[in-house]
Amino acid sequence: MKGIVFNLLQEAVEAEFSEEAWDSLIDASGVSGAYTSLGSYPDEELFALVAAAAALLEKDQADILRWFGRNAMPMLQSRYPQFFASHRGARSFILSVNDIIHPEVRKLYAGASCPHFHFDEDRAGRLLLGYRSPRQLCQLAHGFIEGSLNHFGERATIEHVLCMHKGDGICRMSIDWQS
Amino acid sequence: MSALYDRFTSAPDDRIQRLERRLKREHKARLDAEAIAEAGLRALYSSQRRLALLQKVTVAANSPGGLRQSFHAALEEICTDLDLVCGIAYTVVNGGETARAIDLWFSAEPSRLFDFIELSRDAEFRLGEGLPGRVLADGQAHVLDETPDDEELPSGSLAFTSGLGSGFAFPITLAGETVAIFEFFCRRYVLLDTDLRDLLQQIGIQLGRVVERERSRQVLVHEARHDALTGLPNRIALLERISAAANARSEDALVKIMVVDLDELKRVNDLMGHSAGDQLIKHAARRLEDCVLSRQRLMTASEGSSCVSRVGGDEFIILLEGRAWIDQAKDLAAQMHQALAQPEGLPAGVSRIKASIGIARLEGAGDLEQLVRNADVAMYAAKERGGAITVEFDDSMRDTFRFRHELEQELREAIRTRQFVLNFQPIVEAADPNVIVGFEALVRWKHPQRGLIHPAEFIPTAESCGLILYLGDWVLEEACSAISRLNARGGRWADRYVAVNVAARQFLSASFSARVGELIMRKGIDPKNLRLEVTEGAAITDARRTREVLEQIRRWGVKTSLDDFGTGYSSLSYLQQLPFDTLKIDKSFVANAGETRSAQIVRTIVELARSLDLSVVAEGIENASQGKRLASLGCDYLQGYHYGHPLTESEAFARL
Repeated sequence: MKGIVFNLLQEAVEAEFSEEAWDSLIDASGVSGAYTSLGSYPDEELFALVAAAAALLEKDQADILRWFGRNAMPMLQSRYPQFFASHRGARSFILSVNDIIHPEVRKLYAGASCPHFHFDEDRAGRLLLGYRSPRQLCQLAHGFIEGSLNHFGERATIEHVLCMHKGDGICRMSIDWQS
Repeated sequence: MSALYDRFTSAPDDRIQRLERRLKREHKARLDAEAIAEAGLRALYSSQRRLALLQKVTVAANSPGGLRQSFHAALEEICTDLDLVCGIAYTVVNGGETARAIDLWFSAEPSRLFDFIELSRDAEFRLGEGLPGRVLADGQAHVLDETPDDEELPSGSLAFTSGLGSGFAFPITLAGETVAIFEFFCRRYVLLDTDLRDLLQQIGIQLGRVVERERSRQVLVHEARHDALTGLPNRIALLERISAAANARSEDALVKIMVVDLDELKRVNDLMGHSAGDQLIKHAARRLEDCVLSRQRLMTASEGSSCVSRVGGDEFIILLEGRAWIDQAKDLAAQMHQALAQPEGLPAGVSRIKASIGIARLEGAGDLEQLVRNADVAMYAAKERGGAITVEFDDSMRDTFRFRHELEQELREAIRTRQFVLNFQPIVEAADPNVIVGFEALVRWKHPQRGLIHPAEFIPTAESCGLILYLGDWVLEEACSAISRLNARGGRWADRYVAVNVAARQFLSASFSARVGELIMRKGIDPKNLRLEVTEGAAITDARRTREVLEQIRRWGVKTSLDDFGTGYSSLSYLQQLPFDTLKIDKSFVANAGETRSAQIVRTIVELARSLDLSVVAEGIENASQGKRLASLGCDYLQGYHYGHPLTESEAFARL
């Protein structure tokens, strides 16, 4: 997992709670806690931090991941304004996510595994987003989508049509701007 | 000293505040350092990507296949690398006033974009009109806006119903002049930033050199009306001679042409190199000329005249005109076969030259191109009958030719109106034939007049005219849809797979593995339910590419089978290098598995498969005793009418 994800999580926790809250999470989860955006760290550390946050706040891990994704978006915008500038709406921004993620991951580690989002559209004009990864972080993706909708001031309904957590082969979310 | 110490020491609260400020400074310094490093790495990464693509395009530009082949390879590389859905090439005609598509395109999803590509492949744009016209107007790259007007493209609305959200086009330039245009479409928004513009400009210059070479080649062909290797007249000179002969003679049937095709040439080129091939051509040219001259010398100019020309790699056309020649054509052909069969003067290792000869005569006012085509059809008929013979064109051949042409038209229509269905033939466990492990998906054509047509009757035509790419893509997509439908019903289906046949051309295309990955995601299927069957044809055509594709597909979790094993080259070296999962033993061994020799071959194949960790499927099993025999020879899985005919999707599902 890229260091930037840990950095964003830290920023989100410190902004919503406090610097001490982040320290408590580090202590409770037993992770190293030193992350640079140029580095890459075991997925387990992220899962441990999320689990610790869920336990402390008495919430589902899914809620924590969605909260994180939503709150990370404004921070991403201030760090990387160039990825947002050319888009007039959330749909176009979401469709460009592979173009953003792949170079960002591979510039550091050629051949590193990174999530690939597959896009399609159904007859009703809903955007279908397919995701298949051993990390099974579809709830984080959900949060990111909510965050981008907020960024562009839009509203849409997000539905998990297929989910690896429910035993499906892939995760698929539908995003419906109509309803 | 202690006074100095006191000056820099403060109360604990102050110290904490100072430490916090220090921490913030350090934190900011870290973020700045990361930002600097990331910006540098990102710039380096994108320039590497751009250089890699430019290099691929340069390789395509310098390939020896000529303009169409180079352009096609470049379209494919650009689409694949930049994740674009399709690319179309235009040439500039009409003194720079019009961009005209030249039926040269590449698409990662051909069956989905069939209508769009059919409309685009011969489209024309005037100056300023649509994307190509805008490029033509100012020689710059142009991008299609996110919400374009329909006038942007004559086919605009179709592009958008096909789901193509955006596109761009750029010029191929030669010394600053726009000589061709490439146009691309994709689903997402494209930002034509400075980097991408620079890259497209470089690509345009590289491909401009292809146009330059093509132009100089054409100039040379026009200027030198003779074949450089043999000194014989070339096609242009020949067609002029035929045309002059046809105009000069008013009576029918006084013009005949013979097409002579050397059966050997490709083999000689492959085995002994091109200089031996050239020697063979020169030798054949002299012999053919000698045969014609030996008869021509006995005629006066008004009785008859002739012309021996070389029109292609291994093809000669001989024009015979006048009363004296008409009855001699067959004898001349026999004399040529005999002369070419002589071993003297041939390159070492070649004992004789075999040629296929087709003869056609001009009828009535006659279309000259038709005349050449008829002779070609006759020559192909000679080749089909094994070569080294002569065939004279007659009307029944015209019917065969027309039938093929009609079949091709019907196939186009069938793809457009989706007249195909998939059937599913069970594959069972050898140890317990009641257990179905999967199905092979088999395509059938539901012809509106002729009913259900077997693939053997239309696949060869689809392959020869290129429609196999659409058809193969449809089969793959439909099989994935079937997997997804059956998967949705749950239950015992979960471990079964559907095997899909993939044509060599489809398998080797640059976008194939990405297409498989795309379909798995779009249909939401588990990759283990899909299996791809490839024949030895792909491996022989390009083993390195086959290996790459196999490795990419396996990364998705899809398994692969080598189909019809034992019929082709069955080379051990490529089998060892290529990561297949399964071998399918060809039916011909199954039918004869009772004979000792065939049984031994099957046993050898099974042992070979064991040592390479491949499972073995035997297909074409028609009765219980064949099945038992193949199971006892060690085959893991069995397939054939005995275990089930190809079934419709719902019948197949009911079998589980």
